[in-house]
Amino acid sequence: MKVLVIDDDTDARTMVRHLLESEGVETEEAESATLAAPLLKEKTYDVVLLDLQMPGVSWMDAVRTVRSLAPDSAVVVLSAHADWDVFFDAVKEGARDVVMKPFRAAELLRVIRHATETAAG
Amino acid sequence: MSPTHTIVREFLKAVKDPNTYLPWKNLHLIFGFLWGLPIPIFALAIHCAVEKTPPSAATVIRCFQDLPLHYFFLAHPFLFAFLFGAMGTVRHSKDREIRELLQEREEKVRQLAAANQLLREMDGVRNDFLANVSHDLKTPLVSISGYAEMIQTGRLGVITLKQRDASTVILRNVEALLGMINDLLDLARLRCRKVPMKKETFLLESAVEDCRAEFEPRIREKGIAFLSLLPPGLEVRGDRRKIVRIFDNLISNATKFCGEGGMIRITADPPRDGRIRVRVSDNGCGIPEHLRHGLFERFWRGDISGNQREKGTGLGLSIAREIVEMHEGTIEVESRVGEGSDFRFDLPAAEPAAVEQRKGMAV
Repeated sequence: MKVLVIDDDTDARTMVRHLLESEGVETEEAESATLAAPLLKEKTYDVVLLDLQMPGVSWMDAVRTVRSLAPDSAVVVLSAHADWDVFFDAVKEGARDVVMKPFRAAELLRVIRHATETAAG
Repeated sequence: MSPTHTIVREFLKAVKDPNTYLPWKNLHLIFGFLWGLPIPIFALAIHCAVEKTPPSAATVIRCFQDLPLHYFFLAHPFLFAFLFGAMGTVRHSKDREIRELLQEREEKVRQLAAANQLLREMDGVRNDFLANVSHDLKTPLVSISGYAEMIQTGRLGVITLKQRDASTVILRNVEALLGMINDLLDLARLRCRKVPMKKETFLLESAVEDCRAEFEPRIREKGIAFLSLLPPGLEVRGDRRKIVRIFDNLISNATKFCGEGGMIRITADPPRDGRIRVRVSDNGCGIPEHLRHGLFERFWRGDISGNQREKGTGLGLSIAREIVEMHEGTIEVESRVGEGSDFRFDLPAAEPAAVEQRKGMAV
């Protein structure tokens, strides 16, 4: 399984990579959806973990960018926002699942597994 | 002040006004003069008609000589000019006053609109600020809790028992901090009434049961008797999730206050005047009088239980009060040190028609 983590917080990004690697998942990182574009064009990922920043146009664009560049990847949205509207909108834009930050390891792993299973199904 | 007095006062004021007799400023004066002009002419004409003399300069001079009253008639245009001029001035000054008042009013309306706009902008800024603060406070917690959990579960290598305990402490405190951030955000949102309030009709018992499940382990651990003595079928109308939150906070406090083998009682009176009075009482340590003041204020925290592990954010009761107030109710507490605390609040009762209807359907 291959996962791409897009998050502007380096520490959180690295943490997720360490977590996934400890589970034997091949993981790559990118700081933003824009910076992830070349990676998404070049390779295929099973799951793209996308951190949502402040609500507004930018994050909607981020979900769209990832969806258009990697239509076969399952997009899982992560956010520290308490506002569920953000998540609902993300799902409307084509995100497969959402995870509220901070999360427990088990929760993230479960969501990733679920996302790949539904993608395969 | 009588109307006559007012008229005289205004008239005198107008007479004193230096602008009163400036014809170019006051057309009323010319109008008054012209209005008064026919009086001496009519008087002379009548005089001539009565005397049966043809109107000529000589006759007119004789008229004046015969009847000095004609001088008074001759003064009429001036008298009228004076009167109308003064009236015009009164009107002029009144108009000016009204114009000034209107301008003042317009200016105030403009200021209010500007202030309103500013408030709206500030509200937007505050909401953005709240969202930002909560986001930014939670962001560092992501890495902290993530790594702590990875250490704890041995994902980053074998750890000693002491390290495992330490990471458990880290995680527990992260949870506490997260709870505080969420409470703070909730309270701020409730305060600015940002959250919409749902209106649902539901059984009060069900809300209590929801909380009970959460506290069950703690209650059992401390051997506390939990008595939910609500009248069966008691329905309230309000935001279910928020009302659950009230019970959540009060039961959480009661659990903290109660010692081993304590008791928590939840009771309610039947609806009266569309309200239901609910009581959550415990026989715990009670709240000393000096701490009871400002109990429902934000950030209040009296260290009652003296138990470090059981301290909260100090926001629970403020949140409870906000929610009760959202439902147009009040919350208060009675407490005696060593005997326990008794929290009372009221909620809107479900409309009787709705209850009857549901009962009918059930039958």
